[in-house]
Amino acid sequence: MLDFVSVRTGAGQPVACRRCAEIPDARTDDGAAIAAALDAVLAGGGSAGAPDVLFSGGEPLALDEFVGLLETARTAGSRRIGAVTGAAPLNDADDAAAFVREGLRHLHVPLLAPDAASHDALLGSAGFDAALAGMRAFRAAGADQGVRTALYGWIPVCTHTAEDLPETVSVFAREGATAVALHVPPETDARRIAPWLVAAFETGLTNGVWVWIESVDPAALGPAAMAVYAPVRVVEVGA
Amino acid sequence: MTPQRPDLAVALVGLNSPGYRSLALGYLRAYAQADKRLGGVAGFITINLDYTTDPWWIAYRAIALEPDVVAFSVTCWNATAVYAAARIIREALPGILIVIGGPEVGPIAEETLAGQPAVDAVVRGEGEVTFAELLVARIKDRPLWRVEGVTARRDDTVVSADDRPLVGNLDTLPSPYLAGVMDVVEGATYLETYRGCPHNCGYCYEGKGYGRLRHFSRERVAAEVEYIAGTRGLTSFSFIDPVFNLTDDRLTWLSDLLAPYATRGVRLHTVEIDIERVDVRAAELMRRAGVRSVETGPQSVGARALELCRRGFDADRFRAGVAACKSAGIAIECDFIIGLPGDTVTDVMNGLDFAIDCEPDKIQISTLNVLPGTDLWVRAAELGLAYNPDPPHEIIRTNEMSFTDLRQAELFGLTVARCHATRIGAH
Repeated sequence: MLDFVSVRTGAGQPVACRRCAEIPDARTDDGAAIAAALDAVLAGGGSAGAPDVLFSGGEPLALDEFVGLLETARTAGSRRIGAVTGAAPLNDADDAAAFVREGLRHLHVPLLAPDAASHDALLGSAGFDAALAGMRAFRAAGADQGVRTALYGWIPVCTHTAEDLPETVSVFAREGATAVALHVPPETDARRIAPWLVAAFETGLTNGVWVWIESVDPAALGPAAMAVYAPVRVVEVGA
Repeated sequence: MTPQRPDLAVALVGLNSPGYRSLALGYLRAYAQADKRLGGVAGFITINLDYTTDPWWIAYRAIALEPDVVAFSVTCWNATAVYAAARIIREALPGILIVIGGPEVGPIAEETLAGQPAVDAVVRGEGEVTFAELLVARIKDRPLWRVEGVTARRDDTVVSADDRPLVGNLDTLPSPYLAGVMDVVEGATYLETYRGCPHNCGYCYEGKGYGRLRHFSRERVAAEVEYIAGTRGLTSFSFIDPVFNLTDDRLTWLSDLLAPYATRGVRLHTVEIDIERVDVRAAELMRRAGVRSVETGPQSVGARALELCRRGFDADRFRAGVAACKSAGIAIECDFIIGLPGDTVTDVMNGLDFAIDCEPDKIQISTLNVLPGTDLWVRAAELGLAYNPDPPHEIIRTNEMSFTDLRQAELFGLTVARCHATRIGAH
């Protein structure tokens, strides 16, 4: 499917369940180091040209240099550029418009739960409303500029988020997501949470939104076995 | 002065994709209008509506004309609306003659009449001559069921007359554009330079319905091109031909014919091509002709599906064709069909990967419609195809993919196509 080469912009994710102690806090690297990493990725495409890139780690959209990074990737020939973000930096409509204008087309936004109270409780701070506002601003910027964008939901699956997976998928569907990824940590006993994974997949199917499930044996998913197919894949440099 | 009402008022109703006009009805009307036996007797009017139009409104528009005959061109996409409108028209105007034709009903004419009591007659196959003969029979009060190519009611039974031979010389069919029965519409005008298809794909009616290739003369095509492409303000139109690059010689001729208009900014959009036959020279000929975008397969990359559908596919030649088109600045749309017999989930995924690897401008995903008269329709039981008997005849299950598999694969394919369409610079 569509491969995106990862450009690391920091460590951790902007949205993670604070009740799961093993997940580190997000930290964004400095712009100069990220620019160097991006240059290396773009040069690595060789004769095939610049690859599609995905900025992830920390909060890439909070970087002062982010517009410049987008411009670098776009002018080098990347055909699609994405980012994993909490989406709060998109609340400024001018910023959202600038990001899209410079080439941001794919947005991966994590949510932990289907409502502000639950999401913010798991996050440890307010974030749900800003995430939804950011998603809307991104889609609006694309529509205003007449360009096609793709919004992806991203749900970190843990014991605290599993039961609400179908409802959280519904939220993404209402917000116009193209697809939703359920990220299941590899050490998870998928059979234990399979009913919620399958229900989330079928909720997406009913709403016309593909839900893909990462790091799970398809045999554990029964009728939702096709959910292991991802429309977009992230490729780590050197992997 | 109030115009005199004709003895036979004929309303031709097209239910089309939004913005388009029915070329089929244009041909029917142009031929019938030119028939001396109908001159001064029959009057024609064409109504073009979107196929999503409410049947009550379709009926209202037709009934308001107080016609003696209403004719519909039926496809799998508009059949449900046609039948609903026909029922309303029948009740409102009990004495009216309701005639239908087109690929959806021709191959199943008797079953259609049996299931649609509001309809009086079906024109089977190529319709121009048959429809005109049907109108003459109506005027002369002769039985419709005796007209070659017609299936009609005889008392309480349905009777099919013999098939009508195909038109030998296509130039005997007046051009709907040159005859003035169709307007030239920006971006929605189509030209036909031949009938039939060199391929015989199992899911398609194009090659099956016409059997062999028949061409309009080059003089006729040139006259139509001159009229359409020379229309003031027109910037794009297209060809309905199944394969635009039918032969090198024909492509060279078309390129020569169209180049003067292309230099003035007239472009051709979404012409269907056999991309495996496109090399650098062919791509340059298409660019010179003003071709801006092309539509092509491969529909599937699964060996078994290709074999069952009688389609060829050479991945390297396909990629080379894509590369040649790209070099010439021609946008490419790759089409895939979900639900072909023989295709597994893995084949579908491989097909999507292949498409992405080619990096076309657009990936088009559609679901198999088992269309009446096609090879897959004839062989459905043998191939294990379960499909909806009602139009548009969507595939329900194959031997290789369950109903659930098919619905999931459709959504996945559409999702990949949507993600792919986000390329920077695309609109």
